[in-house]
Amino acid sequence: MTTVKTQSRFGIQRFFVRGESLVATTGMAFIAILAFAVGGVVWVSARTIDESVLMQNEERIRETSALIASQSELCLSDGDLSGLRRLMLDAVASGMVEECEVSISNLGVIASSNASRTLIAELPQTWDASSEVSGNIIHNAKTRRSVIHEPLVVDGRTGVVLSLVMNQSAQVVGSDSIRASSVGIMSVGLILMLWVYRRFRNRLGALAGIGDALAAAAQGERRMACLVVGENLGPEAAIWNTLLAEREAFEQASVTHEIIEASIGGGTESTGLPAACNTLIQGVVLVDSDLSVAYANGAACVFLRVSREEMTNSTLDGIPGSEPIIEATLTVLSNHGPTREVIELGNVEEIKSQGAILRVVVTRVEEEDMPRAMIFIEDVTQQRLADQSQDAFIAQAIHELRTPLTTIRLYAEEAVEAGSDDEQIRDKALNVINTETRRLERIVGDMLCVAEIEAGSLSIRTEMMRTEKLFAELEEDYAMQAKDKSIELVFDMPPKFPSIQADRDRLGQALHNLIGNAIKYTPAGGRVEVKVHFAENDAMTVWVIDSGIGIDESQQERIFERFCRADDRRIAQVTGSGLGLALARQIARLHGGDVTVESAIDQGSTFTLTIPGAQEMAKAA
Amino acid sequence: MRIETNRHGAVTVIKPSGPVITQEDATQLRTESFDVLGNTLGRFILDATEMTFVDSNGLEALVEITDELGASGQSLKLCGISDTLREILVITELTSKFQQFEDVQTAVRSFL
Repeated sequence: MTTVKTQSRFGIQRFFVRGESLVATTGMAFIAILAFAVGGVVWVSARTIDESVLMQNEERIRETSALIASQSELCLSDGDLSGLRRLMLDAVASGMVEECEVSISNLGVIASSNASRTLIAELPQTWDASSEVSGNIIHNAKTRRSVIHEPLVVDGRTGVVLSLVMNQSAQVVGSDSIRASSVGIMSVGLILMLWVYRRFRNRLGALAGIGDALAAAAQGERRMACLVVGENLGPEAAIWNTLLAEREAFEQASVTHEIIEASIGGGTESTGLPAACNTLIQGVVLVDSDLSVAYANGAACVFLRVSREEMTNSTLDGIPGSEPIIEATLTVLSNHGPTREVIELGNVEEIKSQGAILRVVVTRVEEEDMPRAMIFIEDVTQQRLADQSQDAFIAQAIHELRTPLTTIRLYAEEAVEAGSDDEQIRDKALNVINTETRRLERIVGDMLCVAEIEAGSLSIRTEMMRTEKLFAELEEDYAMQAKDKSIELVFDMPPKFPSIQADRDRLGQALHNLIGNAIKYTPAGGRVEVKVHFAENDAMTVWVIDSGIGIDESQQERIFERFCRADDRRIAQVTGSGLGLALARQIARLHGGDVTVESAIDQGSTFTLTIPGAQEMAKAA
Repeated sequence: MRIETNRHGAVTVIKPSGPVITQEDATQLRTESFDVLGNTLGRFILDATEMTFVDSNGLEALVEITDELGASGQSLKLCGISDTLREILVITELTSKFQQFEDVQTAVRSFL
């Protein structure tokens, strides 16, 4: 916060500070111009009114003076001095004039409204009529009076003057008051405006500055230097600057946190390298030379069964079961040891009890004066299990291949020894060789099928085929084997065999596996029945029913997996690749059908193979 | 809702049967899955073959499970999902949060 304030005070305000709003200043100037314009209009209007009133006033004065002058001339013609004097008094009394007097040149005043004036006692019979007196009107703005001199003509004689003093019209005074009041109002208004402006200038500036900053922010500006407003502009500006400073501090803290996280690990990273490491399914642990954990990703914590917090704040010593990893790490960290160690934790036997096999690779990371160890942990449980199954399969396959080969070799030797002398022995030997060869062929076929399934390239080539011959061959193939094992083998065939759409070889392979398994896992004295049914749409269903050892319900789905054999000690005594049922189901499914099982321990099993009719198969394809 | 648990080698398959449409169903699925996750280090598949429908409760549970797996760089492997469930995942834009497989065997092989 302090840094930001210092920056804005010394770095930014000197060059550019938001908040010096043009709005208020321009508004003030506009209002002032408007006020002066209004004042000017008022002034000109008042002046026009004045002039109009003055003209009216002068006309009134002229009319009044002309009236009094004509009356005065009548009185003077009649020699009625008292009437003239009464006229003067009446004129003043009527309010028409303020003062009023009649004077004769060189003689003096003969009548006046002013009682203090010295008057000529009697109207002279003669006076100097030669003196020319001109009439005029003199306006005195200061005293707001007008003085009128009106020459009188008495019986053709001049030299008599009527002098009047009149007040100016009240309207003139009124226009002055309008002018004065408007000026006063404007002055008061301007003063008030100046006061308001001075009082609110800063706050208006702050609001305008914040508005400018928000507009800039909307355009994508994020630099605080460009968004700050002058701090002297009031509380709004201070709050705005505080918010900006807090935002910048928060961003800095976030970046700092990210850098720390990236360098030392731990926490819940959501960005950068730690986030990338957390997407790895391999565990990654960076260990210092003192075995303290500098970084561990999510997978490492899961594999070592510790929480992220425990992992980050501990050493390898504190992680249960990590002794082999510590040993490998110390070996790698020692100066004279190998720079890479590979170990495996756990074994296949532990898998059944939720154990795991972890492959741990420890490598040395050379850094200045401080070697570190990078530990990669990978869960290879399923791979090791698959390896074990593959090994078992190879061993089983070798055994399976060796058995018929041995039989073939022995009977071939017997046939050679018998020669043409004993045709019965030779024929028997050749029959056995033939049977074992076909068995060998099936085993090799199964293995090839497995390879094709593994490669995802197992396919079928369907054609219209009749199944009588296929089932006849199956009966022939297994009759001897069943008889040898004292098993009753029954083929329950339908009266008619319609043609079906299927891959003959693959279908034969599937049925061989089902019937062969049934005989293999049915003890002596048992029964195996092969029952075939064709629906109206030519869909074929084959049931292979045995009275064998049965399969536990929990194992019934597993037995269709490759290399899988049910967990039963009686099964372990019988040779088998663990492929037959997987192949049978795969082949049936490629035809659009399936192989299912119903079984119970010691109550035999029923395997059902379904092959849909040609139309359903086409729809499924 | 019934939940079956099977082992395929080192991989555990959880198979819920029926719709996941109540809070209880979702809690049951979540609890069962988290238990398996903790024990198997994430070698875990959800077989949705018989999971006929999933409402928001079920989706929330699935997302929580895959997020938990996401902490170790993994995501929930779903197999055998119905067209309805696939459509729900597409509409809710959650498809990318899960790995989808045709059947259990294929899903199990993905651990190799």
